[in-house]
Amino acid sequence: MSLLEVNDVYSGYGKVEVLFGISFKIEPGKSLGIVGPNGVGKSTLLKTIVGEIQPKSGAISLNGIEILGKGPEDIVRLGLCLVPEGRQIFGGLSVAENLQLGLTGRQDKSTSKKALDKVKEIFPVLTSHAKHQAGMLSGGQQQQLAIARALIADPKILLLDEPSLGLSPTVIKDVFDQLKSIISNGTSVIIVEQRAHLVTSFADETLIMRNGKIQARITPEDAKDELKLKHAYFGSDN
Amino acid sequence: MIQAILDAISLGGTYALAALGLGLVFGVMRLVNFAHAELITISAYILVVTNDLPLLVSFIIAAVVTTLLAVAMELLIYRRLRGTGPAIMLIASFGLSVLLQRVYELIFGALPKSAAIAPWMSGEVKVAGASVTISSIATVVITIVILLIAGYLIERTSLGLQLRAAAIDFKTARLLGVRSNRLIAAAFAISGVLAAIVGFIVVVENPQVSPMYGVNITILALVGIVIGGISSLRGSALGGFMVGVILSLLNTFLGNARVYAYSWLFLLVLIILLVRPGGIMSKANEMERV
Amino acid sequence: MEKIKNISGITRFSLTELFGPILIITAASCLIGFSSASLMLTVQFALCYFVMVLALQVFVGNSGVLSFGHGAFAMLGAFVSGLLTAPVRIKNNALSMTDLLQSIADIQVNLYLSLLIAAIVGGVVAGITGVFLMRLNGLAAGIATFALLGVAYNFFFNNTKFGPGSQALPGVPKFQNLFIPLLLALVALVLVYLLNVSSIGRTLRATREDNLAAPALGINIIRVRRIAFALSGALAGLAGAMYSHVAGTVQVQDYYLGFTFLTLSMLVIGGSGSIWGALVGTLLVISVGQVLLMMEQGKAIFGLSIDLPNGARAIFIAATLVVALLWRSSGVTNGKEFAFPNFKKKSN
Repeated sequence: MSLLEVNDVYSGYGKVEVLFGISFKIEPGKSLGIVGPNGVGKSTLLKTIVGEIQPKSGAISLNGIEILGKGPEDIVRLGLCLVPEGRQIFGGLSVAENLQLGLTGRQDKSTSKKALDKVKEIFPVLTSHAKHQAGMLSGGQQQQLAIARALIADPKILLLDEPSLGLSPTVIKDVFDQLKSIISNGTSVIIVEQRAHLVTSFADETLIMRNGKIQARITPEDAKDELKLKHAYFGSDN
Repeated sequence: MIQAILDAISLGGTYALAALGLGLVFGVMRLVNFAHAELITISAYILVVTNDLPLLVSFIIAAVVTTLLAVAMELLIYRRLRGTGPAIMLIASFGLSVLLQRVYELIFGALPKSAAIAPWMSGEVKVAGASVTISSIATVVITIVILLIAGYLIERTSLGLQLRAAAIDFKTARLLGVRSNRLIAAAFAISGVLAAIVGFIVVVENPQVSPMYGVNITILALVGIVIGGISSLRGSALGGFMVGVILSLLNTFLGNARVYAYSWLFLLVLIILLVRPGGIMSKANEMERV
Repeated sequence: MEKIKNISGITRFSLTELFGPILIITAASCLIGFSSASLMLTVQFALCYFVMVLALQVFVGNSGVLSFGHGAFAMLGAFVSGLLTAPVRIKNNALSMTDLLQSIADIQVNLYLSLLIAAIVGGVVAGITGVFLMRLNGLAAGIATFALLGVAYNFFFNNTKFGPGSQALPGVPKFQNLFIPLLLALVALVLVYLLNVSSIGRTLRATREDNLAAPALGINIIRVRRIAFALSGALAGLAGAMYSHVAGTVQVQDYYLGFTFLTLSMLVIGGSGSIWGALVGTLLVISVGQVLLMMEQGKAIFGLSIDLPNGARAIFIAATLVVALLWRSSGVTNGKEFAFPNFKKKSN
């Protein structure tokens, strides 16, 4: 039994089908990348996993528990947390309040204080800005806040949708370094990225999506082969 | 003069409480609950028909019934309409409002029901040399206390934080574990309690309760919300307060033309909506984003 | 695109879609109207409501933007037509109109002309207010139009120079027969149908607003909405005027919240997406209301006599609206236009 198992999922919006038979697994403490050009269904896949949209068919289980048909608020409590695209922090609320909100989905409330401290340790910048409006933070700080907010719920698995969006290369590096330490603490991470090179060398395994299907599965070893990568990503037919 | 100022403040405070109740529900589900009027009405009706009981007991019964009705609205009707779009929800709340009015008419009759509630409140006391009614002082005190409690609840508690977050972005709030059904039911319950208090305040001043008793105050509270900014609770309450004060002032200074006070108020609303759809407390065009 | 196609029934001109409703209205009006004098009155009122619901359909149904303000245009139409046609003698002597402006008291025009003027006034006022209001959408539009209704009601309720204030305007001439209101309703129906199948109607429905998070409005959409708002204001003015000539009086309360609620209910119950929905909704609400009214009065229906307490009718209509919304928020007709029943295959 894997931590997260996605089995033959078909999903979409209304009559429009987007995903056609997606399957993958991820083990504890591992990282998985999902890459592909705009519009191949990466975000739809994430929304389906977190329960924002209901799939047409297939199965998704977390720690052996079937999560299909559950809403996002219940899935968080089972240990799966999404850092949404564009971060979606509450700009009008303070940094501390944003973190506080992260506690909502936490199961073990007795250790809330400890979790807050631990997160502040990983992201020291959040302590110094605790009283500030979250909207005043820089893009990189906002991304850190969004990740911190998700971590406070104590997820077994963290999903990130386009974490590099709008960030400068140095900040991106910082964010990925922090993700590395999160993974080494035993949390699994799934990163969805349009910019493939960021994840292919980073993640233990990377899925390349095209037209709602998984086109290829590559390891960091494969990623060194530029040509192979390009073929998989852009989908030349030979 | 002191009486006039107290009247303005107490009217403002009353509308602020009504606006807060409407604003809470709007925040979490983008619904303008016209039937809030019928929550205020039922509270007033119950206070009138249970007038023989001690005031506190009578009020507790009113508050419980009003809150239950508010939660029932959500569970039986609004919950099932979630996701149909604001126009449908608005019409449904309009329909529910009319439905409840007719039910009240069937139960309590079309003619006003009346009782002297807390008659001691209509007495007068001397304040700074001028005599003012006890009820206006009581109203001011009650509204200040309730607004402080509501302020604490919204600004300092976890429930309040969730309510504010959900009002900004419900989708993300759910991703963080905010339970939508419970939170919305809680918002309705709080708005029910607020409506019960508003019912109490107005029924002391005007004990002639008829099926459409709460409509006027609800429409004016709505006006206040629009003026103050529907996307923020603070703006809603402040807007409600302003409407009460403006209305008091118009009534004092318009003289014979005071019958047109509502027209001026509605025109003000139209102008504010056109210039600043998110209310005067907001940055321009905030409404577009809600 | 899939979604938009499903919302709207009408895409191009079809004789069935137009003449189906025309036949049904004509047949129902004549059959029911000529069966008794009281039902004749009911049918006449129903035709007024139908014109009002059509007015709402043109704008609210097509654009998806909510308007509570059409009651204001109907009110205006009723006051214009009522004041223009009431006899000079009555206007100068009635107790309720001692403050009436002399110039208004001394005018009297013919019924048909006054109906036309009422429609034009409704259209012009809607056109002017629409210039500003159509910049709003979603909730802001709902509240703003509600404010418009509030201003109109507050003005006419208190003003005794341009009307009887809170009292009734007496002596408004009534329609002499069923055919005038019937003809007016049919004209309105054809006009609305032609607009709905025109490029204006299609643009309106293509940009239908189903949620608050509608994208920023393009200038072209605003222009199209303004045109539809003006036209629907004219129809609302006509409907209000017709109502005054059926009731034989004008009273401001008749065009306020109850009227707004009833006509919006008809549209939503029937299905706001089509004129067929407007017709079905009007028919349904009126006939259910009529049956319940007869029960309240203790009359036997099909030999059955069920006693209902007074007020049951109003409860039932409001409850029907709420239940209809819960059951199917797109209305009984699901927004589709009239079609002959097709047993061969289920259309999708």
